[in-house]
Amino acid sequence: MKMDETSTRKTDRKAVVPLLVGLAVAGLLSSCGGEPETQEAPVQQIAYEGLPLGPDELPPGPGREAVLNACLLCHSPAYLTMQPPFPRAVWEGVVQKMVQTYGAQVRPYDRKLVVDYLMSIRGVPAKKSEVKKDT
Amino acid sequence: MWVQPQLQAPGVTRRVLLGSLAALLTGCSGSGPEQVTGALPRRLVRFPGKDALYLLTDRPPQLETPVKYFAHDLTPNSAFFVRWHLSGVPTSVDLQSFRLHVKGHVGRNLSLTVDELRRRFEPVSVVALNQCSGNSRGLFEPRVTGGQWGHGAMGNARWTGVRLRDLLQAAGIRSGAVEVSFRGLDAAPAPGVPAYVKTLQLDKAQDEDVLVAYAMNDEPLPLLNGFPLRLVVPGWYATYWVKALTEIEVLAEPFQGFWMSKAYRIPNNPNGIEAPDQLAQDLVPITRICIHSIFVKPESGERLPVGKAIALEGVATDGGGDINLVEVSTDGGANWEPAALDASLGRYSWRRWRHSWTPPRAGAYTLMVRASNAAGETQQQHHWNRSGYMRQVVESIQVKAG
Repeated sequence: MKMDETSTRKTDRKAVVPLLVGLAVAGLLSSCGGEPETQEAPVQQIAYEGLPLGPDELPPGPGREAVLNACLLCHSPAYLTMQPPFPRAVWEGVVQKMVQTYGAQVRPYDRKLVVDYLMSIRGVPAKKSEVKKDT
Repeated sequence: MWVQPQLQAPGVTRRVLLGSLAALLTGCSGSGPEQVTGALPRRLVRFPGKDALYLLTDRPPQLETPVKYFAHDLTPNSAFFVRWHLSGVPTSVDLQSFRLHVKGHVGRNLSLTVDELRRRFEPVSVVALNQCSGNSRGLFEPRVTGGQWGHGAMGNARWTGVRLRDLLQAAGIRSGAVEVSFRGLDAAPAPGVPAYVKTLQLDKAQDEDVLVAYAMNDEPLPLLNGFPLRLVVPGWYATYWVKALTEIEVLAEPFQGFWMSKAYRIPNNPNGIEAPDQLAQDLVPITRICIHSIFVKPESGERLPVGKAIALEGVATDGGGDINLVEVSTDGGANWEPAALDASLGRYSWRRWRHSWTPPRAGAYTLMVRASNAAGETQQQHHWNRSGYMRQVVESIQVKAG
């Protein structure tokens, strides 16, 4: 058994995403039946504090604000920045999938902004993408 | 007191904490872009209880194992890849209150602590490959969207637990049951996001190889790999290996949930193949791990001495078809020689291979590897689907001699 003092100290830090953590913890408690603790129990740890959730790795550009609002509730910006360049039709398909099947809350006008931004950071210029568009 | 799960004997752990990811991220041993096979840029990070692994995303946690770890028969828990789907991952589990529920179309519901599970049911161990459906997706050409994994979204481990079949028998499956669903402690970050629930058809769920595991390489599972319990479906892709498993439900109706009916589906043919200009209409759930093989040593881009024997080695992977031949080419595929196979660790394990090669002269070489199994499966020259699943292309690496 090993004490991890570093982690203990970190519990006092303020949560960056209390909503997400709250959901995760609530899910945990409800699935455990909410039974009272009989042993001395440590405080629930918050895992996400201080993570680079943020916008730092998204370069500036038109539509960036829309991306922050639309995408980052569920996943880190790295999901976007790790992608190779794709034609506009592919990015439109991705945004549609996020809205329709994953329940992303994006206003119709913002969808275009999100796609514009994705094209600006990971887009294949229209000329090249013409070839694939027919597919 | 924060207990590291991997430092404790099974049964002793009361509570484990993921701890502060932030501290560990900033304290990572590697920084800046790194290359893996296929020249994918990567950043090394260190999550709680983990070695420095390649970061795909921090939320949800997705970490790739550097290929150098595949030089071991069993992948260390601390280096085992991580892939969660929902950002609400469990950050601590209290074994006092944790229960595994077996419910639904059964004679009686079960609600078991991990201790009860271990005491009441016969323990079983199996060495099995755990591989992400999208392993090596970053090498697909044309490129596809999704987690851009190299070859490191897999690992080989000894899993110990109880047979799912025994649990279902204890609960008593009622007639009319068709499927069994599995759900973990992970939570969706928003109401519209579908919970991560997977199912097995009833006959597959009663397969004697399917386990509810409480140990991985003879230690408790790391929190990031599914502590305290994980479904183990040897030979099938990791999408079924539900982590932090807490609910098993026997269903009398076919399951319609997102993660079976819309995600993790492949073209309905043996190799899951389609063409970019002719997408398949008929899609089915992905199941068995396809055959594939990779180099572990050397890694692409290495410079080797001329005239000196080099130990080439790697792993061949499949879904339990008994890999019986691995061939290596050192001239770009013109000639092939059989590699030596290490002793089998079981049909669901990967198979390690070795081959000695002496670069005859200075220059650039394309090394290739391909595997076959007793079931008659072999790798493809070309293989593609829109989701980047089941990569089974004959892989090449480039090295220089002299």
